[in-house]
Amino acid sequence: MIVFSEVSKRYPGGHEALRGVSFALAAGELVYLTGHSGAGKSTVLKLIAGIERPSSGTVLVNQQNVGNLRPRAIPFLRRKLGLILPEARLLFDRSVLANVLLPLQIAGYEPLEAQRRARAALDKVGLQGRERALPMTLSGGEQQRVAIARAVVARPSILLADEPTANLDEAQASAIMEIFRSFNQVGVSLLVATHDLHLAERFPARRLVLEAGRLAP
Amino acid sequence: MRSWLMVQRRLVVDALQRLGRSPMSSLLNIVVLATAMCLPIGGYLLLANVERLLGNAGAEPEISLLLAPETGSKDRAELERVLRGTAGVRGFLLVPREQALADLQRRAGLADLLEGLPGNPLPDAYVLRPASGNPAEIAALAQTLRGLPKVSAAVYDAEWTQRLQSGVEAGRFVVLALGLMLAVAMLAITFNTIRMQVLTDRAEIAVAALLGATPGYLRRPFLYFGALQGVISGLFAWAILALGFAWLRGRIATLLGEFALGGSPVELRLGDGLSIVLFAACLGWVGAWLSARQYAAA
Ligand SMILES: Nc1ncnc2c1ncn2[C@@H]1O[C@H](COP(=O)(O)OP(=O)(O)OP(=O)(O)O)[C@@H](O)[C@H]1O
Ligand SMILES: [Mg+2]
Repeated sequence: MIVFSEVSKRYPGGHEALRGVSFALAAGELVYLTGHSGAGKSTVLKLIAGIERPSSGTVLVNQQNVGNLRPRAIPFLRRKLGLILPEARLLFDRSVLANVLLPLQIAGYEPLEAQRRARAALDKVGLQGRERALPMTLSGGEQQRVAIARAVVARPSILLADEPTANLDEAQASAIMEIFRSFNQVGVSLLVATHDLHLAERFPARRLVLEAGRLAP
Repeated sequence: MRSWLMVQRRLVVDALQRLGRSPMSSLLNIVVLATAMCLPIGGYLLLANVERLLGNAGAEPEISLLLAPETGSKDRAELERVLRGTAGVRGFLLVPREQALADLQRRAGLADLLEGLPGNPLPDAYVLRPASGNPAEIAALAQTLRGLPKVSAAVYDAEWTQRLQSGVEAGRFVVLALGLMLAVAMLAITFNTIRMQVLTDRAEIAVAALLGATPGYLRRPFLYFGALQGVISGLFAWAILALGFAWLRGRIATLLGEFALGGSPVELRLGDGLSIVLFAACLGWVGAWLSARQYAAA
């Protein structure tokens, strides 16, 4: 699904965020990406989503070399991914349902079909009945679940999550991980960047550890 | 097809909501765009109408040869012989002074006034049809005819149409220059409005891009907004012009009375109005496209 070979990323400022990173994420796998703050976790996810481009090495997503994609191909790459990133905020001026509908409108779904899918996605994250609510009126954990519903509503085969449990208490964090596990059980691949080692212990899975831009053995 | 229509409807509703989000500045924009349009378009339509009427009036140019008072039938026979031999004269008709007076009385309703005159002040005259419709050739012919014996004057109606014609040409240049300035101003106004919109929607645009929106998808609401703003301004301009023309028409009818040209120079047809709206919509679209291309990419 995802293959990194000898990937380095140097940001324009000159800082080298990743150095020679190689790993593979198989279909249906759940993998944690851990490491200290500034280790390069978010950078890995941004390279996969085509938000940043590698300075060297190759990033393959579904056999596509993301680093070489033409700009106009990037939106179609993103439609096959579910992104739960701090950059992809909820739109606070519209309802929960409207937020979850957004990826489907972008992909050009029939309105009725889109409605049906959006409600089903909200169902899966336990937010049925909150369709009309504004995100502002939800708790942090509930907002995160709206973001997850929005990420999965177009049924991507890969989910990328960057610190999905940040600022959540243990119960809410566990609820989020349970949701992820349920998607993983139906074959969705997940790459979850987190520095919450506690969480990784409670929901064991393969771990990739980044140390100052390098993958620890 | 149905879903395509629904998408279009959603985009139009979205554009209307955008207009409604800041009603004062939207209204101000629309009024500015509409008034900017009225000046050159009104001028253009006036000119086009005048030209159309000139085309009707100038179709058959005529030269009137006014004869000296003491011209007898012998002189006239001699003159007719010369006229027949003059190149450039297609035909002519004698209008005796009695007939001319009767015509005038009938046409202008001046019977009472003319009744009071001691005699008939009008001379005998020939009405000539030149072979050519070219104003310069007609002028040259009139010049030649003025030199014939017993001819006191050679007047041709083309003189004033010609003057109007050159006036129309100068006017067309002014209107074109105004029109270009208008187009640039409209583009600039739309460009700036859209720039503000893109800035307000920055966060939303960034999120949509992460969710797989193409640049085209991100641009579309702004294009619809620009076009819709253009359409509404165009309708405004149409309304203003229609009112202005109706007022002008009343004034001109009073001025010209029954000497009117067989049509009013101030007509605003359905096709003209629709063209204004279409033109404004296209300009709005292009302005929005330029702006969105520049700012949505960033
Ligand atoms: N756009 C950018 N321009 C310049 N440097 C950047 C940029 N984004 C990240 N960096 C730098 O690259 C390094 C890795 O950043 P990254 O965000 O990937 O770390 P992280 O592991 O996600 O950290 P955290 O746990 O704090 O989120 C950091 O030193 C950061 O300062
Ligand atoms: Mg990070």
